[in-house]
Amino acid sequence: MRRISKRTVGIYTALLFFSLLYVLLVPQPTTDELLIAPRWSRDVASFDVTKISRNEEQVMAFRLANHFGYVTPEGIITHVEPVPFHVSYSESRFANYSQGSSGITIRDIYGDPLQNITQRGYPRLKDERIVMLAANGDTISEWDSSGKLKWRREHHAIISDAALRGNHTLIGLLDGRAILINEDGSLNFEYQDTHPEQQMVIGVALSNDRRFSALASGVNPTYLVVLENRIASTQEVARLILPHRIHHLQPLHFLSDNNSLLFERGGSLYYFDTENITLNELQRNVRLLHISHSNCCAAFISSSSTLEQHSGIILQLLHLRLGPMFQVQLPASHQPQPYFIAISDGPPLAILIGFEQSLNYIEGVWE
Amino acid sequence: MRCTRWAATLLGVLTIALGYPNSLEAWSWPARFPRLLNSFAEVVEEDWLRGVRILHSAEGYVQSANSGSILIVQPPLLSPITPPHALDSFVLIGHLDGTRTLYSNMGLLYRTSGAILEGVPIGEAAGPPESAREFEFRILDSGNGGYLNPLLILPRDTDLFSPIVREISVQRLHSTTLGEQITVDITALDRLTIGNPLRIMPFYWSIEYEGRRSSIFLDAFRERQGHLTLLSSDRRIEDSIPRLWRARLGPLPYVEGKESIRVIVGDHIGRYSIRSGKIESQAELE
Repeated sequence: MRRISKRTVGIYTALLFFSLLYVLLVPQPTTDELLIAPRWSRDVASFDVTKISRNEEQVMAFRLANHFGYVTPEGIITHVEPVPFHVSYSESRFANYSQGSSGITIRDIYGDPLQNITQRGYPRLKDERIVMLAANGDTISEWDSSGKLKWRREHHAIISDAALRGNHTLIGLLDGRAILINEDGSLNFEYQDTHPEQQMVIGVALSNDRRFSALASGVNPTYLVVLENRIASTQEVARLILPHRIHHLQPLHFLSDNNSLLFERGGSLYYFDTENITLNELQRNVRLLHISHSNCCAAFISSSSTLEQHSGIILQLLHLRLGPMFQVQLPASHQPQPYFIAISDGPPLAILIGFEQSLNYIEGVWE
Repeated sequence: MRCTRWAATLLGVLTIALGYPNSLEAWSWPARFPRLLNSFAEVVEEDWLRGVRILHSAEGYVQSANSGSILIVQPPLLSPITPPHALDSFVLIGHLDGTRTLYSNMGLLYRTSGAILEGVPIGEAAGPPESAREFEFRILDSGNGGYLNPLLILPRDTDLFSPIVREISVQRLHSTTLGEQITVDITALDRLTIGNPLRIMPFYWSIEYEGRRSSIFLDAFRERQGHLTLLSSDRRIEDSIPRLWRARLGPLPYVEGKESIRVIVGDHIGRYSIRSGKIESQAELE
């Protein structure tokens, strides 16, 4: 029989000891549990306008198939109106717009006008910022809260996408450039991707801390390029060829942890980790309908349709640290994509789900 | 499987090879039954324009202005909750000479990828299918990404896309051996270009008679609330749209046996069309 040396026994004993010490001193729950409770449901079509409250501070915007408005966590609707064309909104203001209008009016959460913007185009509202993508397709401008022009940039190429984070704006252009614009309209950096045969940036995203810029660049193939924005320079930290050959613009979503990039491509949902430079396929046979994310979580509604699985509309909650939390199936609708979701950290975690004409509010508590 | 791929690749190469020899010069108008709504000069003045706006008729469609391959297709926003792009919906086509053409404000799309030959339908402009619909057409330079003037590149002299004179009727009113007076009725003038902020559409016309071109006659329509009226008082218009106007000419040199006359109508950006009409006599030679 082979004898075990004293040294080996010592090593195993030490390993066992330190393992026990780790388990006893650094306890970690295996998983966090989220207790979900539905709070209220509202039919916005039958909303009585006389019940509007004007003392509400915390509101969530909602956009249904034919209606737009604001609602408090208690279910008080501060404003609701039919929307014949499009609406752009933040949690404090909104603007209706159409292709032919020569200007827009910014309104508050009660529907009262705040200011007029004399620019033909499409508004993007983010927090207190008002950014206009001009109807000519190549001009972007920012306006202050009094309706005065802050800055304006013309690029002689069509803007394919824009991402607003903090006071910065990242735009992608169909000539292959990506440009980060500072608060005063000055150039932070300009990046020209020369790799693709057809040079064009077809999607951009900017992390909340502005550390990372992500670009979808080129077609056949399309590259995912991640740039790290440093004080003195911008460095390419990741480049990979995205799967599938598609000829659409490529929306990209940086989640609130500043490292996770979520996007749909070719009927699959992908998740790119900028720290580990890994691309993961979260789900197949889905189409992302709407996404909202907070500091802790991302909630998204997707449609799935496969021969094997029952097709339907699925709501999923993804915790940025813990991974997928839950998924539920929503009823199908006859209206084109009437699904809406908004999420707020709270506490408690608040999720607002819109479906056709109804609003549904649920809360979640971590235990 | 490998053979199928080879066949598909070969077919693709052949398609492009057959299409591209024409592509360098074969530009065609990007719509069937088009009507130009602005000149490129307006692009400079109007901040929101970068190309030309073209109206295609209810039965018309948008077609590729040159051979190439579809690069990007952005369908109309199906979802009301999608954040807006700078352009609502568009098709971007890359061409062999490095230029790209952009067709925006698109509705129904026929094609979303692949090689495409000049004149192949790609979709329809956004709007109700039973009416004429408008889209914007741009040509993007291969160099620094600026915009080219489409009206300098697209065919200018094609009869299809010039101001259309569908029919003329010429009548001899009075003839002597010294000269004659005729009237010219021109029917269904169409596709005139609105070229300035005053909404005045100048056009010229002249006649060719026995190989000689007459003086050039200038005239103009004014657009008011969507209706067109002739500015000159000595010609009349029979409808709110320019379907018919009549001019009395003469005396013109009388040529014995001359039975026909040619009428040239052009607009201020240089497009024209020519129609021949047989002279019908109302009066005998005196």
